[in-house]
Amino acid sequence: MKITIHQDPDVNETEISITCSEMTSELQEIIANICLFENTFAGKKDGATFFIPMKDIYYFESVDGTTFIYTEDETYEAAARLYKIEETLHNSKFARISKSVIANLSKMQSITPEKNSRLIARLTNGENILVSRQYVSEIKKKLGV
Amino acid sequence: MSKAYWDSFLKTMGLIAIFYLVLSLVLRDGNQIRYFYLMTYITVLTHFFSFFTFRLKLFSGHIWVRRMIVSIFDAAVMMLMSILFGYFHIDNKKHLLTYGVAAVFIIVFCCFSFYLSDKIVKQNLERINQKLADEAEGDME
Repeated sequence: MKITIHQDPDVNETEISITCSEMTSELQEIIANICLFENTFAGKKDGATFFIPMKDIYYFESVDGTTFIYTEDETYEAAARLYKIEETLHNSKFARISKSVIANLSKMQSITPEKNSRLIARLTNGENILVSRQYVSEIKKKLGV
Repeated sequence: MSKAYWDSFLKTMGLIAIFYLVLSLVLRDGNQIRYFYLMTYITVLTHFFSFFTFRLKLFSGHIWVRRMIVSIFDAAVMMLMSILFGYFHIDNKKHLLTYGVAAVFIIVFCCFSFYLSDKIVKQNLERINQKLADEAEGDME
C-alpha cells in the first residue's frame, strides 16, 4: 500500500481519495476509521457503502462478530468493530447499554423494568432494546445525572 | 470480562477489609485477625461463583432463580468454611438446628441486599427517565 500526502495551504477542505483495484475488507476498515473522525459512520447495504450521520443512528449492535448500524428505518453493516466505535464515541451521547449494543441516548425515550427484572429501553421510533443492569451507571454518567 | 471481574473483586475485598477494620476496632481483640482469613476465603469463593453466575446468566433465565442459587451457595460456603476453620462443630441436633437457622439468616440477608440493589436501580432509572424526558422537551422547543 502506497500512501501519498500532498500538503497545500490554499486548500479549504481536506479531501481523501483512495485508488484501488478492488474494495477489500482492509480498505473498508480504513474508510470506516477515517469516517469516525467526521462523525459519520460508513455502513454497507446491498453492496453499496453509505456514510451515515451520527445523529441518524439509533444504535449499534454486534451479532456473531459483525457490527450493524440501525437508523430509523434501515440497517447497515459496519466495517468498524464495536469496541473501536465505543472508543470513538467516548465523548458523545452514545453509551454502551449491554455487552453487544451501543445506543444513542438522544434517541431513547425511556428505560423501564420488566416483571422478570429485565430492563427495556424504548426508542423514539418505537423499537425496544434490552439494557443490562450493569450498564445503568454508565448511562447515568453519560446523561450527567 | 477479566477486567470487570478484577474491578468487582477488588471492590468487594475493599468492603470486606473496611468491615473487618470496623469489627476489629469494636471488638478490640488482635486475635480476631483469623476471622479476616476466613472472610477472605469466603469472599473469594462466593464472589467468583456469583460474578460468573450473573454475568453468564447460568442455571436459569430468571434473575431471582439465579439470586436464590447464589444465596444458597453463599450460605453453604460460609457454613462449610466455619466448620473447616474449626469455629463450628456439629455434635448434636441442636447444633444442626443452629446451623440451619444461621443459613436461613444468611439467605434472607442476601435476598434483602438484592432487593436493595433493585431499589437503587429503580431510583437510577427514574432519574435517567426524567433526564431523557427533559432533553426530549428541550429538543422540541
